[in-house]
Amino acid sequence: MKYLVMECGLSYAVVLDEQGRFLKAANLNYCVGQELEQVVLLKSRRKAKPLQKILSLTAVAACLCILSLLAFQFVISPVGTIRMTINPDVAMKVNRLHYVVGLEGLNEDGKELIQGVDYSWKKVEEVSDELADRALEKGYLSQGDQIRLSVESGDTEWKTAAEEMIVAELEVHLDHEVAIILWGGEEDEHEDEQGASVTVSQPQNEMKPTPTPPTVTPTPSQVPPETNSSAGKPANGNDPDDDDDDDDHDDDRDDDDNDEDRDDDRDDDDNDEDRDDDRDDDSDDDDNDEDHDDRDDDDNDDDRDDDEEDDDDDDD
Amino acid sequence: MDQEYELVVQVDAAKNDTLAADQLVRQYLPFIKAETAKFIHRFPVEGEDDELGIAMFAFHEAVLRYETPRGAFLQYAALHIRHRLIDYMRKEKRHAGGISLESSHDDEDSRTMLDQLEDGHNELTRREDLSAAQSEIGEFASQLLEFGLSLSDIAENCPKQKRTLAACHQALECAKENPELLEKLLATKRLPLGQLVQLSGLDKKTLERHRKYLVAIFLAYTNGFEIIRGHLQQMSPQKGGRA
Repeated sequence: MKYLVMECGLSYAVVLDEQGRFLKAANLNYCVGQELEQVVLLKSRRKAKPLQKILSLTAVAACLCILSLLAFQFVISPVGTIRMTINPDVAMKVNRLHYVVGLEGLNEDGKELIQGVDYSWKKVEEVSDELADRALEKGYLSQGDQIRLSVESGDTEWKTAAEEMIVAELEVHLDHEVAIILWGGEEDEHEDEQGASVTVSQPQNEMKPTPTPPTVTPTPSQVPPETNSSAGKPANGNDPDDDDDDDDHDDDRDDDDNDEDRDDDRDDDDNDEDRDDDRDDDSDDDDNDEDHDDRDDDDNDDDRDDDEEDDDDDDD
Repeated sequence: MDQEYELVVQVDAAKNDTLAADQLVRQYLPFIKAETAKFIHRFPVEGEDDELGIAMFAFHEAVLRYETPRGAFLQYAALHIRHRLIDYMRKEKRHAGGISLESSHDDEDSRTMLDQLEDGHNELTRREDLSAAQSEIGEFASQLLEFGLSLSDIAENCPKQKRTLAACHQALECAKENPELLEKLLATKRLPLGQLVQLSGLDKKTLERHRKYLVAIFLAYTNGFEIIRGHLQQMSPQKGGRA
């Protein structure tokens, strides 16, 4: 490209190129009329084109959208399941922020219990309280019964936190009138495989269809088999396994108590006593208490050891 | 502080005025020389060292590009001068392998290779050509002044996009085919834009934006500026320009 120098200033020169463009260039001691092969041209200001601006803005917006979607997905996706077994068996899918994102009835009663429950944008505490209230209303749950809870999650920290939180919440909400029992997922599965009963409130279910006292009272010897067969719910374990001795004993005890209740329905004082007995049984069954006892025993052992050491020291 | 503010005002005023920018360069020539000396490690000589020409042009460019958020003007100008000099040195290094025509063939022989080259152009002819070109360009510049334009104005108004340049060239072709447009330009000292748009079918806004440039190239083709026209050999109409 040849350039014809058209004008010379102190710091610049105007040159005409062969394509008819008038350009500003550095004046390296040029004179007007001179033909040049190379020039140092003025650098044009870099202005962002509208299209570039739009593209960059779009890219930023897209990145923000993707990031917010990922964050939303991270928060909203269920991180664990809380299974609440009264007799109605209900599973709540819970996200990282303890909001319920899914509610499922695992048996017929469970499906009935969750009917009409609006769990959207509600925390697991609220939903579990609501479910407990509904269970109380519908007669699935009454004073002295127990609620079994199992929390399943890949995140152990979340699991521990959720367990503590929901147990505390339910205990406070139900004013410690209902025992809240935590069950490990493995135990639960084991029980499911064996078809064992996981609820203690089976007699309550029987009472549900007939809230009024029956006019014709069956003989005590006939009642237990009837209760098992009439319940007909898989969670209640119609064919109890012989290996699961503890549960069987519990069921038997409860059934017996209930029978007595039925027999002495008219006698309120006796009934109260029976309830107290039930509570005692429940408290005996409570694994946590046993654990605490064990710990206490361990502590005592330690104390003994310490004492022995002290004795040794004294001897020295 | 006042001096700095005054300088910023001067720079702002010189942004759209080439002569004012040139005057500012003259005013700050010692500063420019000092910056060049820092780079070439000797004091530059005006009219001899290309580096000084580059530095002055960089200062001129800094005046045109400066905006207040960029900080103090002199610091910005010093940085710009340095960057321009680095660019220039890199470019020069790329061509360092070539042999200059102005270097002597032999150390004992004082004649340069350019002197020994027989290209049919002796010194006298060259000077005559240069003189003719100078007078023609002088005439061109003075005729442009009658339109109220300077060559610097035209350089600033020159189309930067190829498509726009092609549109302007199409307009010129149209004017060459219709000499009455050129006559009207000379008579009225105004560009017959409406007629030109009608005849060429080009976008009015495109032509209007580059009115000054169009006047210059139309003028080059009216009054027989042979040297300039001879230089514009490659100028040919291309497609484009229609919006």
